[in-house]
Order: sequence, then structure tokens, then C-alpha cells
Amino acid sequence: MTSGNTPFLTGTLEMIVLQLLQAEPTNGYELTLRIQAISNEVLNVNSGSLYPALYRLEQRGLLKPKWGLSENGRRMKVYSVTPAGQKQLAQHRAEWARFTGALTAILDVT
Amino acid sequence: MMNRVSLWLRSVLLRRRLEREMQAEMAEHIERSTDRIQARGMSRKAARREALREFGNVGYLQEEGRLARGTGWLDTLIGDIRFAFRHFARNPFSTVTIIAVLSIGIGINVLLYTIVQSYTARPPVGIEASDDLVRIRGSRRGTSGRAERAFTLQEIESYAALDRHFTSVVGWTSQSVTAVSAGVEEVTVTATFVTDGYFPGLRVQPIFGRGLSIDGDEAQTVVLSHDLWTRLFAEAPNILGRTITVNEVPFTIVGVAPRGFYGALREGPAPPIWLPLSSYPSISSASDDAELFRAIGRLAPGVSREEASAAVAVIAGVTEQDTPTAGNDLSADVAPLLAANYDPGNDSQVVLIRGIFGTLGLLVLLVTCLNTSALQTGLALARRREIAIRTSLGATRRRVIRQLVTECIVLAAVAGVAAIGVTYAITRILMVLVVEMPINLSVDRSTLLFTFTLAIAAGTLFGVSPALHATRESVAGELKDTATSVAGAGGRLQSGLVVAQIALTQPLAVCVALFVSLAVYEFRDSPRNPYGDRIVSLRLASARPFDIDSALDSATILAERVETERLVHALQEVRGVGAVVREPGSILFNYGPFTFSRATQDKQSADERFYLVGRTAMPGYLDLMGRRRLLGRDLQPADSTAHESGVLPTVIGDDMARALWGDSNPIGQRVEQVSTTSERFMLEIVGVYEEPSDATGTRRSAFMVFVPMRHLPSNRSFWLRTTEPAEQMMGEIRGVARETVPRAAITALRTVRSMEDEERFMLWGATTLISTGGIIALLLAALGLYAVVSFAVGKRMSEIAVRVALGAQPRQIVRHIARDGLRLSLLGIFIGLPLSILALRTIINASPDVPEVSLSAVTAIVAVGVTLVAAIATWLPASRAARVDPAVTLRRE
Repeated sequence: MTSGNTPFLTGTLEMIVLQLLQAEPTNGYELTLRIQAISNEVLNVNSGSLYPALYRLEQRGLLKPKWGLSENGRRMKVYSVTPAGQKQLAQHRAEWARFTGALTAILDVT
Repeated sequence: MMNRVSLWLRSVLLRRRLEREMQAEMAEHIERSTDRIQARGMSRKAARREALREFGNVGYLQEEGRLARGTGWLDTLIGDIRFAFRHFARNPFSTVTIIAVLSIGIGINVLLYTIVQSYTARPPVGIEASDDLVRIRGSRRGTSGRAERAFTLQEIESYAALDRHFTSVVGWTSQSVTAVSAGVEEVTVTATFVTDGYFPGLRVQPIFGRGLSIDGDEAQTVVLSHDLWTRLFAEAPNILGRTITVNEVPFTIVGVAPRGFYGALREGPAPPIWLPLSSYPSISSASDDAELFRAIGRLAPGVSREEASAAVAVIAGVTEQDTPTAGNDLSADVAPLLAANYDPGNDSQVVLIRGIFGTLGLLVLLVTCLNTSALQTGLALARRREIAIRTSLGATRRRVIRQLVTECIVLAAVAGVAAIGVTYAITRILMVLVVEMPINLSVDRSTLLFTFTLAIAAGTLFGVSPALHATRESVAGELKDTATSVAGAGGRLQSGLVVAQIALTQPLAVCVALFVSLAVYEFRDSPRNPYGDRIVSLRLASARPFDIDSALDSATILAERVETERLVHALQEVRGVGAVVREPGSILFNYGPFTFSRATQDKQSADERFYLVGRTAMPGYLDLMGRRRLLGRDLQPADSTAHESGVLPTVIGDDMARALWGDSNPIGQRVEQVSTTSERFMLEIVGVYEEPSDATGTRRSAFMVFVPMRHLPSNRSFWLRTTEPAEQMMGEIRGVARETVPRAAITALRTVRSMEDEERFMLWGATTLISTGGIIALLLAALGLYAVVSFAVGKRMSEIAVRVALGAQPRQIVRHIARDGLRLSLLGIFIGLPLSILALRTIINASPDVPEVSLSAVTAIVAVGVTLVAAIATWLPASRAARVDPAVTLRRE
């Protein structure tokens, strides 16, 4: 795996956000850190650009925000995945599996 | 789907909160990033810088966030509207001018729409609109199309029996009576005798009491109109159970109708009262088998008006077979209950009214929009520098156009509100001033919808073109050299607008001016009869109001005739009554084309045509009216036999005698009708009477002549001439009439003076209304014209300054610009001329009585007026510009 910034494929950010929030609801800041940590800093999300994506998902009813307090007493907005979001994620995963399956088959051609 | 909509609504409604939350969330993110980076050993300041770099462009991301919520357009719109208001505040004069022009234009349209709507689409005042509420209208074949006919009570009962078609049918008849409260004040009121269920049928609830009861022991009850309650009892609340006398018969008050309710048809200006039909015999002497009734009904659920029409037509057909005068082609139909559709003969007029008002409205709107468009073009062109700067800062052309169109729509919306305000005020004033307003003039929901659709459509349509035009220039071109505006493309558009404005204003102004002069002319052209206070009109309802020529042998008719003769004698016996003449009130030919008879005429051309209105008159009528006989004789009883010979002895006015025969004696001359049918009237002049002087002295398009009746009149209308002012004798005349002909109701008893007063009042009202409307329209046109022309000149400021700087004299410049302006005006007048002539032709063809002198005068005055306004609009700004120091003007550029 190469290091450095890898651009996102269309729709992948949405899938990543839904997947990570389904695993554990959290706020925007933590979510940025988590994406970088889990992807070994390969997927470098420009931290600010996550927010428009979060708002878009919220507007479509796939995420549900809730204001709460962090461990150090700071106000933060925690996003969790709604049932509609779960359905959407399942759909994304199926599409992704089909896509990578096809890609792997092509790369396996010798 | 619902979820998405509610989320969208939430983001729109909670926009401010969401915005705050977004900012707080992003700030929190940056704060925590700063902490994290600082922990690595950086200074706070450097850490914050790094955190911001990591986060990205905050402003851009927030904009993206708003777009993600779907409310970006709303923010843009609000920003545009805010910008528009700031721009208006900087240019108050232009803004107020545009709003004034738009609001007057829209206001006139709304008023026209309100009037048409009130006349043609709303129920009478005080009645709630309802689809199942209908008029049942009787009709018979008349001289021109179908004419209204009243029903007999029996016929209404037959309609009421159609219970499959109607849930209720009520009928009523009205007559003028005298009401007295507690012996104090005597008021003439319209008594409406109604069948059972009148108020429930109209769904009108009296504000006091329960309405009328038809039970025998409660026959003598009355419901007062709100107006009468106010007038007789000063709105006293303890009104129920009190008494008023109606034609000397006491009635107990059992209710007061709500304010503004005048019944299913407003009949005359007198305040109405409602009485049960069972009390009819105690008040009226007319037999209730007379054709006196009108009817309304409620359709049964699921029954269409067409089905109900078919059913009532069948009953009308049966009625015709029972009447002594077959061949009148009696019929009936069902129409929605509207303010002005009681007469089926008027149905086609309603279409005409809609057409005329619609066209007028469209023309006014066109001129208004053209004005606005021209003003907007001027404003937008003046802002090209601003637009260029915005474009160079990255605004797209679309974005700028959206901004300009938003401004237009905001202006139009403000103008729409102003127009509604103006219309509301005018309708309120009219409703208060014109007491007998038969229609409900009010601004309702459909009017509001109409206005705002109109305003927004006008604003958008005519805002787009200036915006497109103003943004067409390239940025570089505009910033490089402001002098391009001297003779730029904008000049061509402005010139085109000026020409179009003048071309369209002219026909509009010609029409309006003609209407105003016609109204004034009509008002002046109603001379008073000097004996008006001594001439009385007495009318009695006839049991058989239609032509009885075909039923002369009927015993009833004969009895009626004897009765009428007896009445004439009885009236002549009254002390102070000089003469009694019956009023046939029929027109034998109307605007009939006539020519000189070849047999008697040798010197004049037989081809000369003139138009005559032939009124039938009884012998003595002209003398009774106080008209002086100049030559020959009056009509005589024996003249009625002349109808068989084909040559009618005719009395003419001196105006006709002078116009056709000059100084020679017209007695014995003959004229004949030009007609393609075999039935032609030949008239022989037997007398010349003085025609009441015509105030304007213009030649009439038709002369009035008097011809003998063929048979005695079948109606019961009389003229009485008294030796003293007749007002004190009215009671005695009424008494004699009631005593002599107890079966016939008195429908009118009034002096010619009071009729003239009423006519003059109505004419005065109409004249004032038309003149005010006309003057406003002319002002609007002048204002628009001024604005357009002066803007066009104002655009040439820098050109003028350059010329002055080069040594041109101010006078030379003004002359030069005035010449340009005049050229455009003349071009506009030339283009508008065919339109004006077309408009004039249409009006003249529609009303043959247009005085000839006014036509050329109106056209000339309007042409001069338009040129004058254009000249002032050119001269004022040009001379102002020429006076200003060129350095100042050019520096401002």
C-alpha cells in the first residue's frame, strides 16, 4: 500500500461515513481522526469537507444529529445512522462488492 | 417522501438555528485540532494556523454546507432582496416613479377586474355565493332577441313542484309603498312580498328575529332592511314587536335584515322591506294572477343547471298554451344567481362588457409595462459600471440577471400591495357614496390572486429584457471607456421604447379622452323641462303587460280598457289637474334610415340619408310636456287610422325641419324609410314643435319624430299636467287611482323634475367616475411618457457635457436634442395613428350618438398633448444638462 493522499471515488465518502457512524455514533472531529487512523492515513479527508457531506446525509434523513457533551465538558454534535441510513449503507456495500469483484476479476486476467 | 419534505421545511424554517449550529460545530472542530497540534509542541498561534489549513476554506465550506441543506437559494434570494432595498434607498426618485406607474396601471386593472367580476360572477350584495343557488328567469321573444318576462304566482308554484330538480323555489314581487313609524316619519320604501322560505332559501339570517312567517294569523309581519332600521329606529335594539304602517296598514316587525342585504335583486334606490305574500291583498290592489313575480331556487343535490333549465322550459311552454296571446314564444331558464343576470336578454351584453373591459385593461397594462420596462432599462444601463465590477469579481451573467429580475419582482410586489390598497379605498368610497350600488364591489381572494399574478408577471416579463440588455456589454468595454454609452446599443433600445410608448399611449389617450368628452357631453346634453315640477308620471301595473293586438276581442281586455278610460276621467276631475295623456312608450323605429320621398321632393337629392327615431305619441302629449308648436298641427285621434293607408302623419322637431328643409315650410313634405323589406314607413310632416335646446349645439345623428299609435296603448301609464307644483297633489292622485282601479298596483308616481334629478345624479356620478378614471389614465400615460423620454435624454448627459466642453452653446444643444425627441414623438404618433383611428371607429360603430365635432377635436388635442409632454420631457433634462458644468458631469461619469 502506498502512502500519501488518495482521492475519493464518487460516493465512497458517503459509504465510509455511514459505515463508521454505524459502528459508533460520534462527532465530526472524531470521525475525521478515525478515518485517518483506520485507513493508516491513506485516506486523507480534508477535515472541513466532511461537514458538507454530513449535512447532505442529514438532509436526506440518513443521519440523525444529537447535541451532547464530550468527556471534557465541551458541547458536541453526535451523528448516528437512521434506519434509512442503514438501508442505504447496505445498498452501497452491495454495489461496492460488485464493483471490486468485477475489478478483481479483470486484474486476475493474466 | 414526507420525511424529506419535513426535513427540507425544517432546514428552511430553522435556517438561523442551523446556521448557528454549523458555525459552532466548525469552530469546535478547529479548536480541538488546535489543541491537538499544540500538544505536539507548537505555539498556540502556529497551531491554530495549522488547524485552519488542515480544515480548509471555512467560508467556502460553510457555503457548501448551506447548499447541502438545500437552502442556498433562499440565502441568495434574501441577499438579493436586501441588496434590492439598498439600491432602492439610494435611488428614491426612480423607485417611487416606477412603483407609482406600476401601481396605477395594476390598480386600474384590478378595478376593472373587480367591476367585471362583481357584475358577472358574484351574487347580489349580501348573499353568499353558492353553486346550487339559481335564478329562474322567464323570457319571451322581443324585438331584439329575448326579453325578460315576470311569472304569475301559478307558474312559480309549478316550478316549486319540481321537487326532483329544486329543494326550494321562492318567488317575490316588489312595489313602491310608503312606510311610517309611530306616525312620525314617512319614507318611500320598496315592499317585497315574498313566498314562504325566502330568507332560508337565500341562506340569509336576519340579525334580529326569525324572519317571516306565513301563517294566517301572522300575515301582518314585516322584516326591515338594515338601512330602514337605521333611518326609522336609529338602530334601536328592542325593535321586535314594534309596528310600522305600510300604506296605512299596520305591520309587526319580526326581523331586521343584515347590513348590505337588499334582496335577490335590488329594485330601485329605496330601502327595502320584506312582507309575507299573504299580506299582498291588504297593500296592493293588483290581482295575484298578474305576471309580477320573479323567482330563485336551490338546485337539488346532483342536478345540473342544464337539467333544471330543461325542466322549467317545459313548464313555460305549458304556460304559453294557457295564455290568451299565443305566439309570444314564452320560455324560462335557470342561471346562477348573479348580481346582474336577471334579464336573459342581457347575457350577450355581459360577454361584451367582459371583452371591452378586458381589452381596455390589456392596453393599460401594456402601456404600464412598457413604461416600467423603459424606466428599468434606463436604470440598468446607468448601473453598467456596477454590473461590470460585479462581473469582474466573478459574478456570472446569470447571477447578475437574477439580481436585476429580483429587483423588478420586489418593485412589482410593492406596487401590487399599493394597487390593492388603492382599489380597496376606491371600492369602499364607491360603496359608501353610491347608496344604490347593485353590486358588491370588494377586493376578494380571487382579486388578490389576480393582482399578484399580474404584478409578478408584469414585473418579471418586463424586467428580464432590460436586465439582459444591461448585462450584454463586456466587462472590459465598460470599464475601459464610459463614453461608449453616448451612442451605444442602449440608445437604440431606448429610442425604440420611446416610439412604442408614444404609439401605444396615443390610442389609449384618444379612447379615454373620447369617453370623458362623451360623458361630459351626455351630462350637458340633458336639458331640464321648465314645467318639470308640474308634470307627473303615473304608472299602474297591468295584468297583461304584453302586446294585446292579437286578442282584441277578449272580454277581460275590454273591461280593462273601460276601467282605464274611467281612470283618465277621474284624474281629469281632480282639482288642479289640467290634462291627462296616456303614454304609449313604444318606439316604432329606432335609428331607421330614411330618405326624401321621390314624389314630393324635387330639388334635394333622393339619395340623402338621415336617421329617425320614431316614438308613438297620443294627441296632446307634446302640449302637456310644454313643447311649443311652431308650425302645422298636433297628432289627432283620427291619425291612428293612417296606419292602414301607409302614410303616417308625423310631428317633427324644429332641429330636423331646419336641417332637412332649411327655411322652406316642411308641412306636407314626405320622407320614406329605406328598407329592403316590403314593410316601409312613409311619413308626412303635419307639425313642427320646438325641440329642447341642445347645450352643445352639435348636430345629432338621429332626429326624434312623433307618430300616431295604431291602437290604444295596452299599458296603464299616464302623464298628468297640473296647474300648480304637483308635489302636494300626489296623495290625492294616488287615492283616485286606487279607488278607480282597485286591482292595479301603482308602480310609479313621480314628477318629471324628480326623474330628471335622479337621472342627472346618476349621470353626474357616471361622469365623475369616468372622468376621474380617464384623467388618472391620462396622467399615467403622461408620466410614463415623461419618464421614458427624460431617461433617454438623461442617458446623453456625457455627450452633452462633451459638446459643451467643445464650445457648443447650451441653446444649440437643447435645440439639437429637442429635434431628436420631436422626431421620435412624430414617428410614434405616426405609428399610433392607425391604432387610434381603429379604436375611434370601434367606439363610434358601437354608439351611433357620438357627436361628430368631438372626434377630430379629441384626436387633435391628444396628438398635441402627447407631443407637448414629449417636448417637456425632452426639454427639461436637456436644458438642465446643458447648464451643468461639463467638468462636473464628466467627472461623475
